[in-house]
Amino acid sequence: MHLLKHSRRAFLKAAAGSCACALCGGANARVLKYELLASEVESKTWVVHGRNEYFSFENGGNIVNTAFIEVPEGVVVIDTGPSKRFGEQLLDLISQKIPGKPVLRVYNTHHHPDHFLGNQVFDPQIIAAPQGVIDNIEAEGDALTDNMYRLLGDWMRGTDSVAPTQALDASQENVGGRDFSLFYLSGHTSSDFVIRDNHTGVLFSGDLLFMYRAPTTPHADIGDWRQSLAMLRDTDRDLIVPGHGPGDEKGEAIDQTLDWLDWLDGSLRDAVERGWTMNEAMQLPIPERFNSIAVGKTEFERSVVHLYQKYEDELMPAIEIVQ
Amino acid sequence: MKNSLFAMPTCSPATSANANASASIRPDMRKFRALRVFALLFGLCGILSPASLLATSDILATATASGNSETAANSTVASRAARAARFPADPLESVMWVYMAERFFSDGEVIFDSRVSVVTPQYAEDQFYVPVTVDATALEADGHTVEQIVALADLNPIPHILTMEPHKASAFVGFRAKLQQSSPIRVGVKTSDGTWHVNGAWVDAAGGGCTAPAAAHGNPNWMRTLGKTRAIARRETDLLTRLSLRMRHPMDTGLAHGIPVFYMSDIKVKLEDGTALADVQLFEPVSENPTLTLKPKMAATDSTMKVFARDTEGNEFRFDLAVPAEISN
Ligand SMILES: [Zn+2]
Repeated sequence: MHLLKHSRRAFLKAAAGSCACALCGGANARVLKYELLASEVESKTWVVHGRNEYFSFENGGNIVNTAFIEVPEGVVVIDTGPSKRFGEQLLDLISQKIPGKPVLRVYNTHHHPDHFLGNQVFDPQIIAAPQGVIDNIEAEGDALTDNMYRLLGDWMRGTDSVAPTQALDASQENVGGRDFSLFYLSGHTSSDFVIRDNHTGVLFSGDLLFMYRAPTTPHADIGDWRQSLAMLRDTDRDLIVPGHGPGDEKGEAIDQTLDWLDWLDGSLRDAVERGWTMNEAMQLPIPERFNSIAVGKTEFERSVVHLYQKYEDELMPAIEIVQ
Repeated sequence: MKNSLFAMPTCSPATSANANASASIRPDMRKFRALRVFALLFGLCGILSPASLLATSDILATATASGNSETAANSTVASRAARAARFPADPLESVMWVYMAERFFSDGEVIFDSRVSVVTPQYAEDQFYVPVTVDATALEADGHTVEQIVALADLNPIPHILTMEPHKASAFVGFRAKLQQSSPIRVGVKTSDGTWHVNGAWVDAAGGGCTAPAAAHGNPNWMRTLGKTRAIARRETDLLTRLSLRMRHPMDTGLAHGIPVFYMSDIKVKLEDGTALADVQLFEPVSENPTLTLKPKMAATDSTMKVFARDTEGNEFRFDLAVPAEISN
């Protein structure tokens, strides 16, 4: 009880802090810098690694991987981060690393707000995604943005949800002299977009893959997700850049994500078949082999709420009723 | 899911048609969907400053006090203090505590008691489905007889979630509730000596759980599935069973624009000979498609439990459920 009260107080204090910043404006706003660092994971391919955390005012929503690639005639960007401010700082970083070249293409891997809310700083005509991602952003983008304001306060100043204008359906496209293979998958959400740079062999998986960070499931379909993982396993690549976590040459991100999903699926099925309440299911211990996976307990508890009723409707026997 | 890596994912035409249809039926549908989206994704709190929370609740407290046929002038600091003195100070520091205590627990002594376990997440991931498990079997272990379990959400526009009477069942109940905003989930357990043993926990929630339409209304044929039931009965010991049941019902609160109140109001579980095992009275804040977990006390020779349910329109649903003789873990 005491613990709960303290953390609640801390929480409200943090919230009040963010409100204060939103009110006091200009001068203070400039203090909020993401300190983005680009690491060159392959020749002319940079990844901006986010922290393996959940959204907080401290991290400003910088919990996601974004990437940019120098191609012969310009720059290709993969995902744009959680806010307009992030997008601006990403753009600064791009012009430092690749001075004088225009951004030719921006890909959005899916509609989760940490991946596309920097879109605003790019020319809408070059932002591209599958139609499913565009539909999801159009349907849910505003509500997602509102909630990001709530969570991140002034970090979000001026951010609006901007959907891609270019709906993709081809299996390949050439951007500025570089061929990219495009994969239309699902499972993490109803539309997950994977991009491979065919010159370097770097595969940008979006949130179909998590490395050393528990997968999130608010829009997940675990069956579809498993099929997508099987396809990714069979896809040629030299390096995977997951949506969250470090780069991966050996496919460990596939193993880790699948292992977590299998455990989650099995645990929840078992709990529903025993007639457990959601609260009882949430108390299941996280197996030791996931000790290196960040935010496991939090994401597991969230997943119980996201998925439990689907399992109940599938696994609890239907009963004949008399009216 | 397509089998080819190069296949275009199709956006389900059925879904968009439904969305359009429901939007034209109910203009607030879009907002409702939006609310569900944030709840699903983040489940973090409606961030209220403590000051605004107090201000809102003070207005509420004044309003409810006058609703209690006291004049507003009577609600002075002094009279409030006198009323509050009847009850122990609330460890949850809820501004609604005295009102909750007067309304629900005034017929007996009130004590805060950690033997009443109220398990709920600290954040509501989905404010339409906040899971709560109440276990007061520690009171029974200390020799008390539990007569009633009353679950409340102090800051909901309708606070009373449910009342469960464990006639021949463990003092245990699992359910899900809608939260309109961050609120204490409070549980009072009345023992046969007339004492209310109270405990609870704060849940932070984004807004709107009680005033948004049920998801069922997104489907024009929702009435056809009314009362459709899924259930599991298992035996936990020689004397104790576990019943989980889930019934299709919109559980309309009457607070969503244009949708009248309509909810499953009673679920009774009996033995074949009519002996009452547990009675549950449900109210508006119980989540859509009410899902209850109970632990009826049944000997190995009792092989069937009978369930009777009724909603506020007088629809009745009944079914029998076989209980295995073997214990399963
Ligand atoms: Zn995601």
